[in-house]
Amino acid sequence: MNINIRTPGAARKWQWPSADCSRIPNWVYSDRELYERELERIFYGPFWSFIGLECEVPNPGDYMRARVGERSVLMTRDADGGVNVVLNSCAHRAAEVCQKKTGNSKELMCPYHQWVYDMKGNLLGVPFRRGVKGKGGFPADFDLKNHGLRKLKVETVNGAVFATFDENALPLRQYLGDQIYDRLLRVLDGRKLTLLGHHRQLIHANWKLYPENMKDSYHATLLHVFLISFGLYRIDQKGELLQDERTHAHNVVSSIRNDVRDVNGTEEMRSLRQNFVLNDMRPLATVKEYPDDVTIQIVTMFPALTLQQQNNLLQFRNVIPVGPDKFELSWTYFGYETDDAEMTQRRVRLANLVGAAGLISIDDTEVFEFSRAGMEPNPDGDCVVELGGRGIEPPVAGDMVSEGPIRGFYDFYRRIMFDEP
Amino acid sequence: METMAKCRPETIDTPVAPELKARVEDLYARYAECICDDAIEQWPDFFTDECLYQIIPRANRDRGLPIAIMLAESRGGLIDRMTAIRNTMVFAPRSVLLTFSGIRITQRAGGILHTRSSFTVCQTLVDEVSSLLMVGRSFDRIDISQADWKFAERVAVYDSELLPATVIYPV
Repeated sequence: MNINIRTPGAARKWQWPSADCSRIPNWVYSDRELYERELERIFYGPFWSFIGLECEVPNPGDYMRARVGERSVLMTRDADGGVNVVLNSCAHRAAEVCQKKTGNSKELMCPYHQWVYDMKGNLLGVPFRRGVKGKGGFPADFDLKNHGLRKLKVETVNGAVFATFDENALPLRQYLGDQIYDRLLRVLDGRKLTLLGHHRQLIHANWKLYPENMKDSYHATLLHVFLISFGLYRIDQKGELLQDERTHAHNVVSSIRNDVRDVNGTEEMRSLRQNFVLNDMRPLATVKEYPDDVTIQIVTMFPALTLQQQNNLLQFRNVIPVGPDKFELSWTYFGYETDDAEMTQRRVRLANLVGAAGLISIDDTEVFEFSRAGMEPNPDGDCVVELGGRGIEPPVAGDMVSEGPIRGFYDFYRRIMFDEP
Repeated sequence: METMAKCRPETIDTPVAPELKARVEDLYARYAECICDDAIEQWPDFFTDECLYQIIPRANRDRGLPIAIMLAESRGGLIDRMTAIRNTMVFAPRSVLLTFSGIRITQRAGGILHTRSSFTVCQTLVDEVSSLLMVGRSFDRIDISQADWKFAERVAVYDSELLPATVIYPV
């Protein structure tokens, strides 16, 4: 008997199923080797990661643990008032130097052999440098200057701290392009930021699903029925999709609320249930806060950061990869120093909509796990991404249901990962 | 910090009558049954009309940061949450098991009992082994001025640094 065993997966390894990005192969969400390359080329490459808020390390000696890719880093405030991001791995035996989530210290000391660093990561001293009673010790040419903690390149944008392992990464304005950077500045507008809280979730799905979802305006009105069911959002809200024209990988989705009585466009939403009325409206009470009328602005920054303004609710949503099949979603909620108690309360109440128990966010998080469950055992299948065409050109003005930004993400991704032109 | 002080064990001056303690424990048992039995339509009835319900990460609570993952300030708000769970949220079906232990009355102030307790939430998804969703401590206030005892405040402070995916049901 002639048994012909076909192993299509192996034969077409990393072969994109289409010339354009109207197809996304399922293996892109599960392949371990590809994931290792993503860490090297993307998370440790010339791209920026979100670290935290400057106000989380207000005083000299303050530090906070954060992550870039799978690497633990420390955000610190040095004696000169500067913000630094250093690798949380001792230059000696690679142990994590700092285990506490946050704290204040004159210096950073590795608990293993007590190598001591200043808050900028410079090595200040090592025990037994001259040995014991004149015997042993480090070689005479051992130079402390050569053995500091690895320093990341840091840039702050009005209180938000970003870092990259690659010295050659473009400054953030150039990195994002003027159009997207200006939308970042619309929220990070120069007022001093204040931290309102964090929380973190571990999601069993590939990290790319998150930024894709944030760029996907198609799902929002179909999946998220909470706001619509309670009469608080309409599908034909006026909105815009922007993308950085060089990379197609940084985007803005924004919209302006219409008259809530206008229900055109909801006929195709099978999941729509109407006529619920909130008993307590306080969680959704908002006030106009910015000069324009934009009620929702979602800025996605390649690779994996989202800054979302939803009325008065302001959050960074940072995606941190944990293997090909898991990611951490880390939420940082903030306000401005100028906020009064009422405004803070408004932001805190609105937080009910998002996060691990978010009336809206739950839908997304759950669907990511459905995606993983469907993709992982079917690596040879392809996703079909044709809404709004097959190209990566920005969507036509006024078109709020397009998968163009997802195609744009993969166009950039393929150039980075597979050296495509 | 003020919030830290709230978390410290407090002593109650007078000994607690066994009947009082038994009735409080019964309230927690019935509350847990409501969640475990998937009878969340009754869940808001465990609270007074004006109330505070919060599930908050320990890291925020300890630092005096106000962000909670679930917040309601009235029974109406709890009804809204329940309505959303039943009608609008998209999530994988699951059962949850909520258990309380170490329930202790820490203070009695007029018609209000202050309690604290530990809690554990396990969940079971289709085709999956049961897993731990959350562990934490609760700092509650029970209104005992009426015939029906109700929660005036229920603050669930969870330890878990990383929550596995989502928190659908109340704790």
